[in-house]
Amino acid sequence: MVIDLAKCDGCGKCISACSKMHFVPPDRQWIKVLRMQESEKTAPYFFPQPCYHCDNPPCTKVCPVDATFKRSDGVVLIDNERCIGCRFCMAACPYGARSFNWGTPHDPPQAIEKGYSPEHGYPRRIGTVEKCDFCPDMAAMGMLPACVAGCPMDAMYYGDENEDAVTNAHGETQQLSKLLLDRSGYRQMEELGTKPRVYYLPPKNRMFAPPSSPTTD
Amino acid sequence: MSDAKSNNVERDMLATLGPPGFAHKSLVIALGMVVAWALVAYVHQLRIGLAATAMSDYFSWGVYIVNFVFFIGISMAGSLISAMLRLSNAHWRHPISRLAEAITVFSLLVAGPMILIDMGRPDRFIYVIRYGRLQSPILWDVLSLTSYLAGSFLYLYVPMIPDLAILRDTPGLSRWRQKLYGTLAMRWTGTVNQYRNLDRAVSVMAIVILPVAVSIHTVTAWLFGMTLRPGWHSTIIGPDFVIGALYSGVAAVITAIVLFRYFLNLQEHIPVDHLRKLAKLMLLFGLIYAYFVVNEHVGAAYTGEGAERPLLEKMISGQYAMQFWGMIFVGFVLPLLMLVTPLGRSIAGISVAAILVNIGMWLKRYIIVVPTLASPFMPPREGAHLAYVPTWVEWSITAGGFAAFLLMFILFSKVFPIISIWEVDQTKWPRLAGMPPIPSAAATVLP
Amino acid sequence: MKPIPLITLILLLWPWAAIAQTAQPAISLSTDIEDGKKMVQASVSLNGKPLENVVLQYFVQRTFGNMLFGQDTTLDDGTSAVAFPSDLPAASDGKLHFVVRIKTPAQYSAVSASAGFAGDVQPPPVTEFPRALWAPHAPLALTVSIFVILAGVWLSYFFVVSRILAIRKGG
Repeated sequence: MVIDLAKCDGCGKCISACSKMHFVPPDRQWIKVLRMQESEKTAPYFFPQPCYHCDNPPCTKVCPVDATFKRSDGVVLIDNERCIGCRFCMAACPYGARSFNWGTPHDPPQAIEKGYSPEHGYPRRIGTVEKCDFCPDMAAMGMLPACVAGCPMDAMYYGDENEDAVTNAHGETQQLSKLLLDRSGYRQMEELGTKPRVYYLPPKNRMFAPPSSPTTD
Repeated sequence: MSDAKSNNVERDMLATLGPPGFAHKSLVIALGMVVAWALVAYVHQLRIGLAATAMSDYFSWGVYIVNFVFFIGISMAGSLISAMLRLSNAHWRHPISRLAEAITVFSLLVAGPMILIDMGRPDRFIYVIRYGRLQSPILWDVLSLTSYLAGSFLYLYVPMIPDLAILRDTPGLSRWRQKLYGTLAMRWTGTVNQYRNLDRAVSVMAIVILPVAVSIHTVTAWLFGMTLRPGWHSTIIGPDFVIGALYSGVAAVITAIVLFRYFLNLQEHIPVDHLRKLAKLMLLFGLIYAYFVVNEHVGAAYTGEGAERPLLEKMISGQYAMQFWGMIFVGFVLPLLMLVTPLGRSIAGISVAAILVNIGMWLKRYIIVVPTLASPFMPPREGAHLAYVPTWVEWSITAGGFAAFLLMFILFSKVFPIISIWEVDQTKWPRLAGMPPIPSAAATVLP
Repeated sequence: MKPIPLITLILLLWPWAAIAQTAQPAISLSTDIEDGKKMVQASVSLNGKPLENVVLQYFVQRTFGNMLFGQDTTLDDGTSAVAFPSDLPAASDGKLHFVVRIKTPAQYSAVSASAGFAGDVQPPPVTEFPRALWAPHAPLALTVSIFVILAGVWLSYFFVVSRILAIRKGG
């Protein structure tokens, strides 16, 4: 995935699209839009953050029962028929990408009808972990994940790394390697060594005003 | 003089195994009620899930993990007294080694269930064995804990065999006791070969139990150390937990000894001198651990690096200042100061210091677990509430854990002699001709 | 106008209109070497006659969309060419699947053609998971170390139990 921070205006439509598709309860978000500002004088910007499906995932390393695992297509999924709820993966993820079903889940009937699969993560089970799954059931049909497809600013791109191509909501496909080279793509907290699969394009030449500085705790 | 004293050991131990008095009964009932209440709280948690706790997506670990680490921490007691002191030929350990080893066994028996209580799906615990991944520090902890529990069990039982033989041979005991001691005494009659086998068994255990004890604290530390979070991902965390365990283990032993001396009138067999020696050990470990705590924080304080700085600020002057400075004061400054003054030679002073250390070390575990969770790398999302105030369920279960620990101890002391009769009173199982003597407990090596 | 001549006019003109409407250009695709560089060539013809000044867009089919990699206008012989994307990995069948569309003139914008040609870069082979901390199977060093340590510890325990049993036998 490539996220163009120069185009994200913080509208949050990615969050609503994802929450709608996965029946995500209002107390959690699988993709977050954070307001970031590294230091006082650097530019604040909106920062959409899904799970990064890292190539060196700290979460799958610590799972004692192989409930969270990396597939050969690169996505990191969770099998909630296996999860024992130890929450070690939540402690291990430095990006805070995971949420937990602390209480009894209340999935709507459509979710329950569909039947469980790690590929869409519902109906939920109490005492298990969940997170963004990169919509692998959509990808199998050649369709973009809900957040990418729902972005009105074309700030999000998604594609197959093996094809060296990423596509946005309007069907515009770019060559991944060229895009990252031209626009100086980077990964969040590269120094942690997690090898995330989401690249960001720096928030340069924005067409709209940057967000106000986030209040610091 | 030593003869008269040691003859009394058997008499006094038999007295402790007699019918329970009022103090015993009321303590058992009180502790039983606390444990029962904890069960009520747990059933409530089973019904509504971990939502019964104050944990949330940011504070994904809480008081249950603090309790787990705390109880693992005090389990070092047994290995220290039984093994380390044995290997250094400190014979003053004889009257207290069984008590210390019992602390180890019972603390592990509380730590294990505490983890089950923390799990979101305890019904799936068997998956850890069926589908276990060796790459996970949780697996290392499970393997280490079961090995340590098995080893400590053996180390509690084997040196007790001659005592069980004494009890087997004692007339006038109730039927179930006769059967129990008879079975467990392994037909001990004090022959040369039996002594030899006993010596070999205990020597091997003393050597093996030490690396296993070090491993349990190290892998528990690595539950935190193998993540990337500030405050957890430090190179010092393994040794930190080991030294912390020594510190809290000694404090637990002192507390237990003081209580048993008082309730069972064991002053004659565990003289004040033993408490003073243990207090010196506690002082030593306390100073070493204080050194570790300084090392843990001084780097972040000096450099102000990245994510470490907000974490340190939270502890020094922010959200967790009370717990942090409480821990420093109650766990280090007060008790260690007390121990270097004349107060540290009195039983009252030593007992208070030990209890303060226990409280301080629980706070230290809290400081390890919670503030890091309050300092994530990424800023919290809009509307996220970054606070953790444990609920009645968590406190009830915590109290239940401590109560269960004490209850197991009290029941143990009613079934088995808490002081090793045959090691204190050399006349019970006299060494046969040609066997090297066991130096008496009165002959001490340390000042 | 009188109805019969009108009907006749319509009957006479209608086939021509129909032919005029169905008369869409055809695009044929090929690869060629021009000046030492590999090119993708498309030639546009209408009823056998080459069309000039038609702007063509060249795409490569990718899973989630078609990627534009070039645009060219046809010459008087109806041909246009764009550099072959030699750095793009091929699909799993080893080919790059091209789609060429007419951009202008607008009335032909529905016309497209596709073809597959062998790509210059093959997709990386599907590898099995290595033994790694994050993968299903643990690194060998880890498994062996844990096994050795546990064996050492539990064998000692069995030794101790054997001594207990020896005590039971009476020494």
